[in-house]
Amino acid sequence: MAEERWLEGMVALVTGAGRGEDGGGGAGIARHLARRGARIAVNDISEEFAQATVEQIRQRGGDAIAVVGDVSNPVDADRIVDETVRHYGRIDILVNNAAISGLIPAVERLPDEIWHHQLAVDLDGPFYMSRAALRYMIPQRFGRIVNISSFAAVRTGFVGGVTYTTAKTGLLGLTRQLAYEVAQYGITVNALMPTGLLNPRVLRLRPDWVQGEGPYRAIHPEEELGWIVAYLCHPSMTAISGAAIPVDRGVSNGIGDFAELKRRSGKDTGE
Amino acid sequence: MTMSSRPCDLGGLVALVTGAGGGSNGGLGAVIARELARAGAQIAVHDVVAEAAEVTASELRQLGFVAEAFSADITDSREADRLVGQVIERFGKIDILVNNAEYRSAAYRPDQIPTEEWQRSVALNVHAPFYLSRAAVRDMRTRKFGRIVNVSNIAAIRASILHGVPYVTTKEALYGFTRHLATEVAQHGITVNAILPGFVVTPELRAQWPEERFERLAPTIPARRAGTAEEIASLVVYLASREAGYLTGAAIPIDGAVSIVPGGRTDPENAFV
Repeated sequence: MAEERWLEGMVALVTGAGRGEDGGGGAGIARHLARRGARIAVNDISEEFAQATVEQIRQRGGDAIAVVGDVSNPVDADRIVDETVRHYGRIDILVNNAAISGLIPAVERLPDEIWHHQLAVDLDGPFYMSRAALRYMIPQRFGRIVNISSFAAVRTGFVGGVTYTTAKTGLLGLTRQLAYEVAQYGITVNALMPTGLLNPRVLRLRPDWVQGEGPYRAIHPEEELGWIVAYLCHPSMTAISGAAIPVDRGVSNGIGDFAELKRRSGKDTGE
Repeated sequence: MTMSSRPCDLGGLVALVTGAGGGSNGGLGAVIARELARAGAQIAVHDVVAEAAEVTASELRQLGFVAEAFSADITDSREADRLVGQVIERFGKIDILVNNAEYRSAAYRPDQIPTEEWQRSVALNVHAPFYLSRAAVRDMRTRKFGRIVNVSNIAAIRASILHGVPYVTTKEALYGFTRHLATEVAQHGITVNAILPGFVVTPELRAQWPEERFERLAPTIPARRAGTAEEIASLVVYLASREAGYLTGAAIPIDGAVSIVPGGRTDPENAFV
């Protein structure tokens, strides 16, 4: 069945989208947007990782380039967007997906370096990238920004730690205020809050992490997360902006189980 | 926890309030410091400007309260550590931390926000509360008691007309920090909450805004008026009290119901500086 290519003619920049088949949400989103007809600028901090996704998209008949750089550096962020526009002539879609997560120490033992680096990538990065992209989107009176937050933005990312929760919550503020300010230019800004995203690399490293089955199965990066991003980027989709959309099959709204979270994360909370 | 017969008696507790300078001409922090003192706490008054901190501290002492001025650039993690160390050296401990100091960015069009404006907002509104909370928790957990109150803003749940992207993002990030820290330190008898004030009249703002600006604002608020700094401070006093031990991780709007009313369109003419 031929897929509907409602993103034909559009250019999408996806950050943290490297590693191709082995990649996480970013690579999945990039592949899906390519299937819908968008030309893709694949950003990653590593050239090798970015190229893996670019090759994968090209092999499937899509059009993609690598734009390597560190989103937490404002000079890099400007350059990543400028390179995208220099190559493709425009930028219509920005997906702020690049982020650092993972187990970190409890707050009272958290060193400055982890806090600063993670906040820079997870929160400063989306701001620098959005600011750079809006310089093109505002004059063309069209744009779609999708921020990949996390369910941690409304609960706690207990596994990830304080920096992840802080950054992902802040990202909702960025989403809401940007949406409010750029609505007048035909630009929408939304946030997705996935939890339990299928990650092939994590599954290989930690085969003991059962990621759920049947109705509780993990969220598929390309088929599911990518589909939602493509839907929000539809040229007619102007009504939804400033939204924070949980992507969790509805199961994360139960009351939390602290003991279970502690057991699964192996986190030392300093008892 | 022993309870006094007087509600919200903070007797025997030590409070550090950041951005609390200016005394009776100051902002929200100075009023919070005064109300915590009236409830019985000993007050460490912080301000980045030493003289401003001293104004508040000496006013409090004249009222018969125990207060000491401290000055530090709390966006620097070593200075934040040093500040908490000095407070503990002077008062023996720290029970209450009110992260009130904030940077209010101007409302630039989002593609024109200077990097420095963003970085200042993140540094004072997100990094500083982290540095100070980290240092304070190390002391609080030894006594199995602590109260951290983060002064966020209704910008954490709505959009802001006055302050733009850096302010809204960092005030919501502060709420995320609040939630996460609350889960980690609850076991130590430490609570962490965020308050979300709406429009608040402070002596500082009275001096900056012409009267007609308050008059124009009033009808937009269901309560038909801006809040007083004392009303905000009374919530801080409650959250800091021994009674409030099971209230944690919350973000409490205190705004005359203005955040419940739906907002309107952005006015392209007046939206940005």
